[in-house]
Amino acid sequence: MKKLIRFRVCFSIGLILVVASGVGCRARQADRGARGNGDDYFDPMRLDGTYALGPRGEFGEEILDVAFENVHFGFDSYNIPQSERLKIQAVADYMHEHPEVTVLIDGHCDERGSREYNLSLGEHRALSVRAVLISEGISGDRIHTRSFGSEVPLDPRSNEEAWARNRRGEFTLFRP
Amino acid sequence: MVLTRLILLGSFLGVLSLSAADIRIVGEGRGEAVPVSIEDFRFERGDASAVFRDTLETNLSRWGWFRRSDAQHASYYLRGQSRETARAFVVDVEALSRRTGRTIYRERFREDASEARMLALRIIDGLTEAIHEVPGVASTRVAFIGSADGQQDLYTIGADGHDMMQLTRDGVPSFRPSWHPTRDVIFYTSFVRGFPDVYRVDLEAGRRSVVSREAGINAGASVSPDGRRLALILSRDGNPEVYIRDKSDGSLTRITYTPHNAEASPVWSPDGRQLAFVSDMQGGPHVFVVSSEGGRPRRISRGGSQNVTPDWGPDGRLVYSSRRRGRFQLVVYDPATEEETQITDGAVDHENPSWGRDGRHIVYARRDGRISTLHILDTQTNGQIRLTTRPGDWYFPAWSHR
Repeated sequence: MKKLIRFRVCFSIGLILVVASGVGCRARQADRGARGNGDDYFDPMRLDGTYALGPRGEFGEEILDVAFENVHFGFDSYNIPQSERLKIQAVADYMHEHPEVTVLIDGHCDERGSREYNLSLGEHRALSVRAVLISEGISGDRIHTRSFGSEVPLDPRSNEEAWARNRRGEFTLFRP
Repeated sequence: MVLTRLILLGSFLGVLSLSAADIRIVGEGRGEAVPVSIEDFRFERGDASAVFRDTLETNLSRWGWFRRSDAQHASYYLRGQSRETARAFVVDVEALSRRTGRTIYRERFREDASEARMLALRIIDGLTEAIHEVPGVASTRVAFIGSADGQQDLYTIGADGHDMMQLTRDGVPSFRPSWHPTRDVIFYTSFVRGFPDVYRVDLEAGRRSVVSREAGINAGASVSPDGRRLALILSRDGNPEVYIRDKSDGSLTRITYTPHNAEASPVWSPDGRQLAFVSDMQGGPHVFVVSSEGGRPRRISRGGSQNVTPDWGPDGRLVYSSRRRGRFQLVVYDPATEEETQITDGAVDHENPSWGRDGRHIVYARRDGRISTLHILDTQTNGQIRLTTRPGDWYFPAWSHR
Protein backbone atom coordinates (compact mmCIF):
# COMPACT_ATOMS: atom_id res chain seq x y z
CA MET A 1 0.00 0.00 0.00
CA LYS A 2 2.58 2.46 -1.20
CA LYS A 3 0.32 5.45 -1.41
CA LEU A 4 -0.98 5.01 2.09
CA ILE A 5 2.44 4.57 3.58
CA ARG A 6 3.78 7.53 1.65
CA PHE A 7 1.82 9.88 3.88
CA ARG A 8 3.79 10.87 6.88
CA VAL A 9 1.81 10.05 9.94
CA CYS A 10 3.25 12.14 12.70
CA PHE A 11 1.63 14.67 14.92
CA SER A 12 2.69 17.85 16.54
CA ILE A 13 2.04 19.62 19.80
CA GLY A 14 0.68 16.57 21.47
CA LEU A 15 -2.15 15.97 19.05
CA ILE A 16 -3.16 12.43 19.73
CA LEU A 17 -5.14 10.56 17.19
CA VAL A 18 -7.88 8.62 18.81
CA VAL A 19 -8.22 5.57 16.70
CA ALA A 20 -11.89 5.15 17.12
CA SER A 21 -13.70 2.69 15.00
CA GLY A 22 -15.92 4.18 12.32
CA VAL A 23 -19.12 5.56 13.70
CA GLY A 24 -22.22 4.10 12.21
CA CYS A 25 -20.49 1.70 9.83
CA ARG A 26 -22.79 -1.02 8.70
CA ALA A 27 -21.81 -4.08 6.77
CA ARG A 28 -24.07 -4.57 3.81
CA GLN A 29 -24.26 -7.68 1.71
CA ALA A 30 -26.70 -6.26 -0.80
CA ASP A 31 -24.03 -5.83 -3.45
CA ARG A 32 -23.72 -9.51 -4.19
CA GLY A 33 -24.85 -10.94 -7.51
CA ALA A 34 -26.85 -8.94 -10.03
CA ARG A 35 -24.95 -9.10 -13.27
CA GLY A 36 -25.97 -6.24 -15.51
CA ASN A 37 -26.63 -6.52 -19.20
CA GLY A 38 -26.52 -4.14 -22.12
CA ASP A 39 -26.49 -0.42 -21.60
CA ASP A 40 -28.49 -0.23 -18.43
CA TYR A 41 -25.39 -0.98 -16.40
CA PHE A 42 -24.97 2.55 -15.17
CA ASP A 43 -28.54 3.18 -14.16
CA PRO A 44 -28.41 0.92 -11.12
CA MET A 45 -26.91 3.66 -8.90
CA ARG A 46 -30.33 3.63 -7.37
CA LEU A 47 -31.65 4.43 -3.96
CA ASP A 48 -32.34 0.89 -2.75
CA GLY A 49 -28.93 0.45 -1.16
CA THR A 50 -27.65 -1.84 -3.90
CA TYR A 51 -24.58 0.27 -4.35
CA ALA A 52 -24.07 1.22 -0.72
CA LEU A 53 -20.48 0.88 0.42
CA GLY A 54 -19.49 -1.82 2.85
CA PRO A 55 -17.17 -1.13 5.78
CA ARG A 56 -13.66 -0.06 4.97
CA GLY A 57 -11.63 -3.20 5.46
CA GLU A 58 -8.05 -4.34 5.47
CA PHE A 59 -6.49 -4.28 2.05
CA GLY A 60 -3.93 -7.08 2.23
CA GLU A 61 -0.91 -7.32 -0.05
CA GLU A 62 -0.73 -5.10 -3.09
CA ILE A 63 -0.51 -6.99 -6.39
CA LEU A 64 2.38 -5.44 -8.30
CA ASP A 65 2.95 -7.94 -11.13
CA VAL A 66 -0.26 -7.07 -12.99
CA ALA A 67 -0.98 -3.52 -14.08
CA PHE A 68 -4.29 -2.10 -15.25
CA GLU A 69 -4.79 1.01 -17.31
CA ASN A 70 -6.25 4.16 -15.81
CA VAL A 71 -9.83 5.03 -16.75
CA HIS A 72 -10.12 8.56 -18.14
CA PHE A 73 -12.99 11.03 -17.86
CA GLY A 74 -14.24 14.13 -19.66
CA PHE A 75 -14.14 17.57 -18.04
CA ASP A 76 -16.51 17.86 -15.06
CA SER A 77 -17.86 14.40 -15.90
CA TYR A 78 -18.07 11.03 -14.22
CA ASN A 79 -19.55 9.27 -17.27
CA ILE A 80 -17.49 6.40 -18.58
CA PRO A 81 -16.95 6.50 -22.35
CA GLN A 82 -17.21 3.24 -24.31
CA SER A 83 -13.45 3.25 -24.90
CA GLU A 84 -12.80 3.26 -21.17
CA ARG A 85 -15.28 0.49 -20.38
CA LEU A 86 -12.93 -2.17 -21.79
CA LYS A 87 -10.29 -1.19 -19.21
CA ILE A 88 -12.78 -1.86 -16.43
CA GLN A 89 -13.83 -5.15 -18.01
CA ALA A 90 -10.17 -6.22 -17.92
CA VAL A 91 -10.16 -5.66 -14.15
CA ALA A 92 -13.45 -7.55 -13.82
CA ASP A 93 -12.05 -10.48 -15.82
CA TYR A 94 -8.99 -10.66 -13.56
CA MET A 95 -11.16 -10.52 -10.45
CA HIS A 96 -13.38 -13.32 -11.79
CA GLU A 97 -10.25 -15.44 -12.31
CA HIS A 98 -8.95 -14.55 -8.84
CA PRO A 99 -11.95 -14.54 -6.52
CA GLU A 100 -9.79 -13.69 -3.48
CA VAL A 101 -8.64 -10.39 -5.00
CA THR A 102 -10.07 -7.03 -3.92
CA VAL A 103 -9.67 -3.67 -5.63
CA LEU A 104 -9.28 -0.06 -4.53
CA ILE A 105 -10.38 2.52 -7.09
CA ASP A 106 -8.83 5.97 -6.66
CA GLY A 107 -10.74 8.82 -8.30
CA HIS A 108 -8.82 11.93 -9.38
CA CYS A 109 -9.69 15.29 -10.93
CA ASP A 110 -7.80 17.95 -12.80
CA GLU A 111 -6.74 21.05 -10.92
CA ARG A 112 -9.51 23.31 -12.19
CA GLY A 113 -12.42 24.15 -9.94
CA SER A 114 -12.97 23.93 -6.21
CA ARG A 115 -10.81 21.49 -4.23
CA GLU A 116 -13.84 20.52 -2.16
CA TYR A 117 -16.11 19.87 -5.14
CA ASN A 118 -13.27 17.96 -6.79
CA LEU A 119 -13.07 15.69 -3.74
CA SER A 120 -16.75 14.80 -4.26
CA LEU A 121 -16.37 14.54 -8.06
CA GLY A 122 -13.37 12.22 -7.67
CA GLU A 123 -15.43 9.99 -5.39
CA HIS A 124 -18.26 10.01 -7.90
CA ARG A 125 -15.81 8.93 -10.63
CA ALA A 126 -14.49 6.08 -8.48
CA LEU A 127 -18.07 5.03 -7.72
CA SER A 128 -18.95 5.08 -11.43
CA VAL A 129 -16.10 2.66 -12.09
CA ARG A 130 -17.32 0.60 -9.14
CA ALA A 131 -20.82 0.48 -10.64
CA VAL A 132 -19.42 -0.94 -13.88
CA LEU A 133 -17.47 -3.61 -11.97
CA ILE A 134 -20.65 -4.55 -10.10
CA SER A 135 -22.54 -4.76 -13.37
CA GLU A 136 -19.79 -7.11 -14.57
CA GLY A 137 -20.65 -9.42 -11.71
CA ILE A 138 -18.02 -8.38 -9.14
CA SER A 139 -19.41 -8.26 -5.62
CA GLY A 140 -19.52 -4.76 -4.17
CA ASP A 141 -17.79 -5.85 -0.98
CA ARG A 142 -14.63 -6.56 -3.03
CA ILE A 143 -14.55 -3.00 -4.36
CA HIS A 144 -13.35 0.00 -2.34
CA THR A 145 -13.22 3.61 -3.46
CA ARG A 146 -11.20 6.62 -2.51
CA SER A 147 -11.12 10.14 -3.87
CA PHE A 148 -8.06 12.33 -3.92
CA GLY A 149 -9.91 15.21 -5.57
CA SER A 150 -7.31 17.27 -7.40
CA GLU A 151 -4.59 16.80 -4.75
CA VAL A 152 -2.45 14.16 -6.51
CA PRO A 153 -2.00 15.03 -10.19
CA LEU A 154 -0.07 12.61 -12.44
CA ASP A 155 1.07 15.48 -14.64
CA PRO A 156 1.85 18.75 -12.86
CA ARG A 157 1.49 20.96 -15.95
CA SER A 158 -1.49 23.24 -16.53
CA ASN A 159 -2.67 22.40 -20.04
CA GLU A 160 -5.36 20.32 -21.74
CA GLU A 161 -3.09 17.31 -22.17
CA ALA A 162 -2.11 17.26 -18.48
CA TRP A 163 -5.70 17.83 -17.34
CA ALA A 164 -6.91 14.91 -19.50
CA ARG A 165 -4.28 12.61 -17.94
CA ASN A 166 -5.15 13.77 -14.44
CA ARG A 167 -8.93 13.10 -14.75
CA ARG A 168 -8.67 9.41 -14.00
CA GLY A 169 -9.60 6.34 -12.03
CA GLU A 170 -6.67 4.21 -10.85
CA PHE A 171 -6.83 0.55 -9.87
CA THR A 172 -4.84 -1.02 -7.06
CA LEU A 173 -5.48 -4.73 -6.53
CA PHE A 174 -4.82 -6.69 -3.36
CA ARG A 175 -4.65 -10.31 -2.35
CA PRO A 176 -5.40 -11.33 1.23
CA MET B 1 -8.69 35.80 32.90
CA VAL B 2 -10.49 39.00 33.48
CA LEU B 3 -10.78 39.51 37.20
CA THR B 4 -12.77 42.65 37.06
CA ARG B 5 -14.99 43.52 34.26
CA LEU B 6 -17.11 46.59 34.46
CA ILE B 7 -20.34 46.51 32.63
CA LEU B 8 -20.88 48.54 29.57
CA LEU B 9 -22.43 51.70 30.91
CA GLY B 10 -24.64 52.71 28.11
CA SER B 11 -25.19 52.16 24.46
CA PHE B 12 -24.95 55.12 22.25
CA LEU B 13 -27.52 55.50 19.50
CA GLY B 14 -25.93 58.02 17.24
CA VAL B 15 -26.49 58.84 13.61
CA LEU B 16 -23.34 56.97 12.68
CA SER B 17 -24.37 53.62 14.08
CA LEU B 18 -24.96 50.98 11.47
CA SER B 19 -27.22 48.02 11.80
CA ALA B 20 -26.71 44.91 9.72
CA ALA B 21 -29.56 45.93 7.43
CA ASP B 22 -27.76 49.13 6.49
CA ILE B 23 -24.67 47.39 5.17
CA ARG B 24 -24.27 47.85 1.49
CA ILE B 25 -22.12 46.32 -1.14
CA VAL B 26 -19.17 47.89 -2.85
CA GLY B 27 -20.13 50.61 -5.27
CA GLU B 28 -23.39 51.45 -3.53
CA GLY B 29 -21.97 53.20 -0.52
CA ARG B 30 -18.87 53.83 1.50
CA GLY B 31 -18.51 52.88 5.12
CA GLU B 32 -17.97 55.88 7.34
CA ALA B 33 -14.97 55.49 9.63
CA VAL B 34 -15.62 57.21 12.97
CA PRO B 35 -12.69 59.38 14.21
CA VAL B 36 -11.32 58.17 17.55
CA SER B 37 -8.51 59.72 19.57
CA ILE B 38 -6.20 57.85 21.95
CA GLU B 39 -4.21 60.99 22.88
CA ASP B 40 -5.71 61.08 26.37
CA PHE B 41 -4.88 57.45 27.14
CA ARG B 42 -1.76 56.98 29.29
CA PHE B 43 0.49 54.07 28.34
CA GLU B 44 2.91 53.51 31.18
CA ARG B 45 6.40 52.18 30.53
CA GLY B 46 7.02 48.50 30.00
CA ASP B 47 7.06 45.78 27.35
CA ALA B 48 3.40 44.79 27.73
CA SER B 49 2.29 48.42 27.52
CA ALA B 50 4.36 48.85 24.35
CA VAL B 51 2.74 45.80 22.73
CA PHE B 52 -0.67 47.01 23.88
CA ARG B 53 -0.12 50.47 22.44
CA ASP B 54 1.27 49.20 19.15
CA THR B 55 -1.64 46.75 18.71
CA LEU B 56 -4.21 49.41 19.53
CA GLU B 57 -2.70 51.95 17.15
CA THR B 58 -2.25 49.48 14.31
CA ASN B 59 -5.66 47.81 14.56
CA LEU B 60 -8.01 50.65 15.47
CA SER B 61 -8.36 51.69 11.83
CA ARG B 62 -7.82 48.20 10.34
CA TRP B 63 -11.49 47.26 10.06
CA GLY B 64 -12.96 50.45 8.63
CA TRP B 65 -15.18 51.19 11.64
CA PHE B 66 -12.76 53.80 13.05
CA ARG B 67 -9.93 56.04 12.04
CA ARG B 68 -7.32 57.51 14.35
CA SER B 69 -7.71 61.19 14.93
CA ASP B 70 -6.33 63.96 17.12
CA ALA B 71 -8.36 64.85 20.18
CA GLN B 72 -9.81 67.98 18.62
CA HIS B 73 -11.43 66.23 15.64
CA ALA B 74 -12.42 62.98 17.35
CA SER B 75 -16.04 61.91 17.78
CA TYR B 76 -14.91 59.64 20.62
CA TYR B 77 -11.81 59.57 22.75
CA LEU B 78 -10.25 56.91 24.93
CA ARG B 79 -8.97 57.68 28.38
CA GLY B 80 -7.51 55.58 31.15
CA GLN B 81 -4.16 53.89 31.50
CA SER B 82 -2.24 50.66 31.07
CA ARG B 83 0.30 49.63 33.68
CA GLU B 84 2.36 46.64 34.64
CA THR B 85 2.55 45.34 38.16
CA ALA B 86 4.88 42.58 39.27
CA ARG B 87 2.21 40.00 38.58
CA ALA B 88 -0.18 41.41 36.03
CA PHE B 89 -0.89 43.79 33.21
CA VAL B 90 -3.74 46.11 34.14
CA VAL B 91 -5.80 48.23 31.77
CA ASP B 92 -8.47 50.73 32.73
CA VAL B 93 -10.15 52.08 29.64
CA GLU B 94 -13.11 54.31 28.98
CA ALA B 95 -14.51 55.68 25.72
CA LEU B 96 -16.42 58.96 25.78
CA SER B 97 -18.46 60.82 23.24
CA ARG B 98 -16.88 64.19 22.55
CA ARG B 99 -20.26 65.71 21.75
CA THR B 100 -22.22 64.55 24.77
CA GLY B 101 -19.41 63.78 27.20
CA ARG B 102 -21.08 60.49 28.02
CA THR B 103 -19.14 57.29 28.61
CA ILE B 104 -20.20 54.74 26.02
CA TYR B 105 -17.72 51.98 26.90
CA ARG B 106 -15.74 51.11 29.99
CA GLU B 107 -13.67 48.05 30.93
CA ARG B 108 -11.09 47.08 33.48
CA PHE B 109 -8.75 44.22 32.67
CA ARG B 110 -6.19 42.48 34.83
CA GLU B 111 -4.37 39.84 32.83
CA ASP B 112 -1.02 38.17 32.33
CA ALA B 113 1.39 40.41 30.42
CA SER B 114 1.28 37.93 27.51
CA GLU B 115 -2.36 38.98 26.93
CA ALA B 116 -1.46 42.60 26.09
CA ARG B 117 -2.06 42.18 22.36
CA MET B 118 -5.36 40.35 22.88
CA LEU B 119 -6.60 43.04 25.31
CA ALA B 120 -6.07 45.76 22.71
CA LEU B 121 -8.02 43.71 20.17
CA ARG B 122 -10.86 43.08 22.63
CA ILE B 123 -11.09 46.78 23.37
CA ILE B 124 -11.42 47.52 19.64
CA ASP B 125 -14.21 44.93 19.41
CA GLY B 126 -15.84 46.48 22.49
CA LEU B 127 -15.79 49.90 20.82
CA THR B 128 -17.19 48.44 17.60
CA GLU B 129 -20.06 46.89 19.53
CA ALA B 130 -20.72 50.07 21.55
CA ILE B 131 -20.58 52.53 18.67
CA HIS B 132 -21.66 50.53 15.62
CA GLU B 133 -23.74 47.84 17.38
CA VAL B 134 -21.90 45.15 15.44
CA PRO B 135 -19.65 42.41 16.85
CA GLY B 136 -16.12 43.30 15.77
CA VAL B 137 -13.67 40.85 14.21
CA ALA B 138 -10.45 42.29 15.69
CA SER B 139 -10.05 39.55 18.31
CA THR B 140 -11.32 36.64 16.16
CA ARG B 141 -9.19 33.97 14.47
CA VAL B 142 -9.07 32.34 11.06
CA ALA B 143 -8.46 28.60 10.63
CA PHE B 144 -7.04 27.48 7.31
CA ILE B 145 -5.18 24.81 5.39
CA GLY B 146 -1.89 25.33 3.68
CA SER B 147 1.75 24.61 3.34
CA ALA B 148 5.06 26.39 3.43
CA ASP B 149 6.87 23.50 1.74
CA GLY B 150 4.23 21.52 -0.19
CA GLN B 151 3.11 19.61 2.94
CA GLN B 152 -0.52 20.42 3.76
CA ASP B 153 -1.49 21.07 7.37
CA LEU B 154 -4.05 22.84 9.56
CA TYR B 155 -3.23 26.33 10.85
CA THR B 156 -4.87 29.25 12.63
CA ILE B 157 -3.99 32.95 12.61
CA GLY B 158 -5.30 36.02 14.41
CA ALA B 159 -7.46 38.33 12.28
CA ASP B 160 -4.79 41.00 12.96
CA GLY B 161 -2.29 38.85 11.04
CA HIS B 162 -0.32 37.87 14.16
CA ASP B 163 0.07 34.65 16.11
CA MET B 164 0.01 32.15 13.22
CA MET B 165 -0.04 28.63 14.66
CA GLN B 166 0.53 25.29 12.96
CA LEU B 167 -1.79 22.72 14.55
CA THR B 168 -0.78 19.56 12.67
CA ARG B 169 2.38 18.15 11.09
CA ASP B 170 0.89 15.56 8.79
CA GLY B 171 1.75 16.79 5.31
CA VAL B 172 -1.31 15.15 3.75
CA PRO B 173 -4.24 16.50 1.69
CA SER B 174 -6.56 18.37 4.05
CA PHE B 175 -9.80 20.26 3.46
CA ARG B 176 -11.98 23.09 4.75
CA PRO B 177 -11.95 23.66 8.52
CA SER B 178 -15.15 24.62 10.37
CA TRP B 179 -15.25 26.25 13.80
CA HIS B 180 -17.49 25.11 16.59
CA PRO B 181 -19.41 28.21 17.79
CA THR B 182 -17.51 28.17 21.10
CA ARG B 183 -14.20 28.54 19.21
CA ASP B 184 -12.51 25.72 21.14
CA VAL B 185 -13.00 23.01 18.49
CA ILE B 186 -12.20 22.85 14.77
CA PHE B 187 -13.61 20.19 12.43
CA TYR B 188 -11.83 19.40 9.16
CA THR B 189 -11.09 16.68 6.61
CA SER B 190 -7.69 15.00 6.49
CA PHE B 191 -6.00 12.09 4.68
CA VAL B 192 -3.87 11.38 7.75
CA ARG B 193 -5.07 7.77 7.76
CA GLY B 194 -4.91 7.46 3.98
CA PHE B 195 -8.55 8.27 3.26
CA PRO B 196 -10.64 11.44 3.44
CA ASP B 197 -11.96 11.32 7.01
CA VAL B 198 -13.45 13.99 9.27
CA TYR B 199 -11.62 14.93 12.46
CA ARG B 200 -12.19 17.27 15.35
CA VAL B 201 -9.31 19.16 16.88
CA ASP B 202 -9.82 20.14 20.50
CA LEU B 203 -7.76 23.29 20.89
CA GLU B 204 -7.76 23.48 24.69
CA ALA B 205 -6.77 19.85 25.19
CA GLY B 206 -4.51 19.74 22.10
CA ARG B 207 -6.18 16.53 21.00
CA ARG B 208 -7.48 15.26 17.69
CA SER B 209 -10.13 12.57 17.32
CA VAL B 210 -11.93 10.99 14.39
CA VAL B 211 -15.54 12.04 13.80
CA SER B 212 -16.42 10.12 10.63
CA ARG B 213 -14.46 7.46 8.78
CA GLU B 214 -16.98 5.45 6.89
CA ALA B 215 -16.22 3.78 3.58
CA GLY B 216 -15.86 6.27 0.76
CA ILE B 217 -15.74 10.02 1.28
CA ASN B 218 -16.13 11.78 4.65
CA ALA B 219 -15.85 15.52 4.13
CA GLY B 220 -17.43 18.96 4.29
CA ALA B 221 -17.99 19.04 8.05
CA SER B 222 -19.94 22.16 9.05
CA VAL B 223 -21.13 22.82 12.60
CA SER B 224 -24.66 24.17 13.09
CA PRO B 225 -24.97 27.57 14.84
CA ASP B 226 -26.24 25.86 18.02
CA GLY B 227 -23.26 23.48 17.90
CA ARG B 228 -25.51 20.43 18.11
CA ARG B 229 -25.52 19.18 14.53
CA LEU B 230 -22.85 18.47 11.97
CA ALA B 231 -23.49 18.65 8.22
CA LEU B 232 -21.34 16.18 6.28
CA ILE B 233 -20.69 14.84 2.80
CA LEU B 234 -20.67 11.03 2.86
CA SER B 235 -20.79 8.41 0.08
CA ARG B 236 -21.80 5.56 2.39
CA ASP B 237 -24.99 4.95 0.43
CA GLY B 238 -23.14 4.66 -2.87
CA ASN B 239 -22.81 8.30 -3.91
CA PRO B 240 -21.70 11.59 -2.31
CA GLU B 241 -24.71 13.15 -0.54
CA VAL B 242 -25.40 15.74 2.18
CA TYR B 243 -26.12 14.31 5.65
CA ILE B 244 -26.73 15.79 9.08
CA ARG B 245 -25.38 14.05 12.14
CA ASP B 246 -27.03 14.88 15.45
CA LYS B 247 -24.25 15.09 17.99
CA SER B 248 -26.40 14.14 20.97
CA ASP B 249 -27.39 10.67 19.78
CA GLY B 250 -25.17 10.23 16.70
CA SER B 251 -28.19 9.74 14.46
CA LEU B 252 -27.68 10.44 10.78
CA THR B 253 -30.26 12.12 8.53
CA ARG B 254 -29.78 12.03 4.78
CA ILE B 255 -30.68 15.38 3.20
CA THR B 256 -30.06 14.92 -0.54
CA TYR B 257 -31.06 12.12 -2.89
CA THR B 258 -29.12 12.65 -6.10
CA PRO B 259 -27.82 9.24 -7.19
CA HIS B 260 -26.29 10.64 -10.38
CA ASN B 261 -24.71 13.75 -8.90
CA ALA B 262 -22.03 14.87 -6.49
CA GLU B 263 -22.58 17.23 -3.54
CA ALA B 264 -20.00 19.25 -1.59
CA SER B 265 -19.42 22.14 0.81
CA PRO B 266 -22.54 22.30 3.05
CA VAL B 267 -22.92 25.38 5.32
CA TRP B 268 -25.68 26.39 7.74
CA SER B 269 -27.93 29.43 7.64
CA PRO B 270 -27.54 31.67 10.73
CA ASP B 271 -30.84 30.37 12.17
CA GLY B 272 -29.84 26.74 11.57
CA ARG B 273 -32.98 26.04 9.52
CA GLN B 274 -31.40 25.78 6.09
CA LEU B 275 -28.26 24.48 4.42
CA ALA B 276 -26.48 25.83 1.36
CA PHE B 277 -24.33 23.37 -0.57
CA VAL B 278 -22.77 22.70 -3.96
CA SER B 279 -24.25 20.16 -6.36
CA ASP B 280 -23.85 19.36 -10.05
CA MET B 281 -27.45 18.18 -10.33
CA GLN B 282 -28.15 20.86 -12.95
CA GLY B 283 -24.90 20.51 -14.90
CA GLY B 284 -21.70 21.95 -13.50
CA PRO B 285 -21.36 22.76 -9.81
CA HIS B 286 -23.86 25.35 -8.52
CA VAL B 287 -25.11 26.55 -5.14
CA PHE B 288 -28.35 25.13 -3.79
CA VAL B 289 -30.34 25.76 -0.61
CA VAL B 290 -32.39 23.13 1.23
CA SER B 291 -34.26 22.95 4.52
CA SER B 292 -32.23 21.28 7.26
CA GLU B 293 -35.27 18.99 7.61
CA GLY B 294 -34.71 17.82 4.02
CA GLY B 295 -36.93 18.34 0.98
CA ARG B 296 -36.36 19.67 -2.49
CA PRO B 297 -33.21 21.78 -2.95
CA ARG B 298 -33.55 25.14 -4.70
CA ARG B 299 -30.77 26.50 -6.89
CA ILE B 300 -29.77 30.06 -6.00
CA SER B 301 -26.67 30.75 -8.13
CA ARG B 302 -27.52 31.89 -11.65
CA GLY B 303 -24.51 33.55 -13.26
CA GLY B 304 -21.13 31.95 -13.79
CA SER B 305 -20.19 28.57 -15.27
CA GLN B 306 -19.38 27.17 -11.78
CA ASN B 307 -20.49 28.35 -8.35
CA VAL B 308 -18.73 26.78 -5.39
CA THR B 309 -17.80 27.06 -1.67
CA PRO B 310 -20.77 29.06 -0.28
CA ASP B 311 -20.72 30.70 3.14
CA TRP B 312 -23.79 32.08 4.89
CA GLY B 313 -23.23 35.42 6.63
CA PRO B 314 -24.67 36.60 9.96
CA ASP B 315 -27.15 38.96 8.25
CA GLY B 316 -28.51 36.20 5.99
CA ARG B 317 -26.59 37.03 2.84
CA LEU B 318 -24.47 34.34 1.17
CA VAL B 319 -21.12 34.64 -0.55
CA TYR B 320 -19.64 32.12 -2.98
CA SER B 321 -17.01 31.78 -5.69
CA SER B 322 -18.40 32.14 -9.19
CA ARG B 323 -16.39 31.34 -12.30
CA ARG B 324 -16.82 34.29 -14.64
CA ARG B 325 -14.71 34.93 -17.75
CA GLY B 326 -12.30 32.20 -16.72
CA ARG B 327 -11.71 33.46 -13.15
CA PHE B 328 -13.35 32.80 -9.81
CA GLN B 329 -14.91 35.99 -8.46
CA LEU B 330 -16.77 36.52 -5.21
CA VAL B 331 -20.52 36.94 -5.51
CA VAL B 332 -22.90 38.00 -2.73
CA TYR B 333 -26.44 36.63 -2.90
CA ASP B 334 -29.23 38.37 -1.03
CA PRO B 335 -32.15 35.99 -0.30
CA ALA B 336 -34.52 38.96 0.14
CA THR B 337 -34.08 40.17 -3.44
CA GLU B 338 -32.73 36.90 -4.93
CA GLU B 339 -30.06 39.02 -6.59
CA GLU B 340 -26.39 38.21 -7.14
CA THR B 341 -23.81 40.98 -6.88
CA GLN B 342 -20.25 40.38 -8.05
CA ILE B 343 -17.94 42.07 -5.55
CA THR B 344 -14.47 41.28 -6.94
CA ASP B 345 -12.80 41.65 -10.30
CA GLY B 346 -9.39 41.16 -11.84
CA ALA B 347 -7.17 38.44 -13.26
CA VAL B 348 -6.77 36.33 -10.09
CA ASP B 349 -9.00 33.66 -8.57
CA HIS B 350 -11.02 34.53 -5.45
CA GLU B 351 -11.79 31.27 -3.63
CA ASN B 352 -13.17 29.83 -0.35
CA PRO B 353 -14.87 33.00 0.99
CA SER B 354 -15.81 33.07 4.69
CA TRP B 355 -17.79 35.84 6.41
CA GLY B 356 -16.55 37.63 9.48
CA ARG B 357 -19.04 37.93 12.32
CA ASP B 358 -19.46 41.65 11.55
CA GLY B 359 -21.20 40.76 8.26
CA ARG B 360 -18.92 43.29 6.57
CA HIS B 361 -15.58 41.55 6.03
CA ILE B 362 -14.88 38.40 4.04
CA VAL B 363 -11.68 36.37 4.25
CA TYR B 364 -10.83 34.43 1.10
CA ALA B 365 -8.01 32.66 -0.73
CA ARG B 366 -6.59 34.82 -3.49
CA ARG B 367 -4.94 32.56 -6.03
CA ASP B 368 -2.45 33.91 -8.52
CA GLY B 369 -1.27 31.00 -10.65
CA ARG B 370 -0.64 28.07 -8.32
CA ILE B 371 -0.14 29.98 -5.07
CA SER B 372 -2.90 31.24 -2.78
CA THR B 373 -2.65 33.80 0.00
CA LEU B 374 -5.38 34.77 2.44
CA HIS B 375 -6.88 38.21 1.98
CA ILE B 376 -9.62 40.09 3.79
CA LEU B 377 -12.11 42.10 1.75
CA ASP B 378 -14.08 44.99 3.23
CA THR B 379 -17.43 44.80 1.39
CA GLN B 380 -18.22 48.42 2.24
CA THR B 381 -15.05 50.10 1.02
CA ASN B 382 -13.69 47.40 -1.30
CA GLY B 383 -10.47 47.69 0.74
CA GLN B 384 -8.21 44.63 0.83
CA ILE B 385 -5.90 43.44 3.58
CA ARG B 386 -3.41 40.64 3.04
CA LEU B 387 -3.71 38.32 6.05
CA THR B 388 -0.94 35.76 5.48
CA THR B 389 2.51 37.15 4.81
CA ARG B 390 4.59 34.03 5.38
CA PRO B 391 5.66 32.51 2.03
CA GLY B 392 3.60 29.44 1.16
CA ASP B 393 0.29 28.31 -0.28
CA TRP B 394 -2.62 29.16 2.03
CA TYR B 395 -6.31 28.43 1.41
CA PHE B 396 -9.64 27.19 2.92
CA PRO B 397 -9.90 30.07 5.42
CA ALA B 398 -12.72 29.77 7.98
CA TRP B 399 -13.45 32.77 10.17
CA SER B 400 -14.32 32.08 13.81
CA HIS B 401 -17.59 33.50 15.11
CA ARG B 402 -16.11 34.40 18.47
